[in-house]
Amino acid sequence: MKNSVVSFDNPLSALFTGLPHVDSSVVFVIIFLVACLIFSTMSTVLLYHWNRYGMNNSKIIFARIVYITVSVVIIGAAFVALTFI
Amino acid sequence: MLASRLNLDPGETIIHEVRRHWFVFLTRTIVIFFAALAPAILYVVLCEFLPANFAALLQSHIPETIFLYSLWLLLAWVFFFVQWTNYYLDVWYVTEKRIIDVDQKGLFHREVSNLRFDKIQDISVEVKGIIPTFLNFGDLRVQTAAEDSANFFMPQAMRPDDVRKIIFSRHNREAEKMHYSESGDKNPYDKTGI
Repeated sequence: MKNSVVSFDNPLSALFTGLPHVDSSVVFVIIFLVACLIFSTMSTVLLYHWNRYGMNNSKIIFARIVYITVSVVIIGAAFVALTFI
Repeated sequence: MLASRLNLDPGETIIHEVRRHWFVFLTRTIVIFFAALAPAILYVVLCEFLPANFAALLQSHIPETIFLYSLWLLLAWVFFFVQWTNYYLDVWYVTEKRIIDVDQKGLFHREVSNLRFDKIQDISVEVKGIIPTFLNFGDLRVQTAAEDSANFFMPQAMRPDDVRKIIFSRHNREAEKMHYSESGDKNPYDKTGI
């Protein structure tokens, strides 16, 4: 596990003087969870629109597959990076 | 499903769909693409030109950098599809009887209007510029007969002249049908049921 944000060789450490000690990995996990929540909300909205108004044509179906596939890849990359933090 | 979503009459089918030209959406896509690449370019530039200790700081936090950049890509990806949804769901459906204008102004703002062919007064097409001329797209405006009705307007529509011909031919058919029904003469379109 990496050191916290406050460290003596970090030029930005002066900004965090006086703040309570927070493990940076926890901060990144919280950021990841918030991002997943926002992404889930937006995805629900988009999928609702495609299902209701898209008339189920081939382009909508293709868009749905591409959207979900690439989103899973990006979230997977973020999760893998998170495990190394 | 299509008929129920658009409240089509029995036997009414969609004969043409009119959307904005793909080039219009491509320009937005390019902007989103460069916005998605910007942090990566910035990272490379900072590592190259920053003083050694700052550059080393950046390079020693690669997982954090990849994590944050992945979230930025995700944001750009979702934004791209929001834009695409607004582009793709903004459409005119031309049926045998009318034009259904679906105006997707935003994710939570959608306007649907109907215009019967017998209410059409004029259709105008404006193709302005080099790229619209070569790619064949332009503004399509349908003027209605009613004084208080808003005109139907589709900016940067694909193949606007073809759309105009389709709508005019349907409009003329409706006008002739009305003429025959009023005059009592035999309607040559009776056999086709149109």
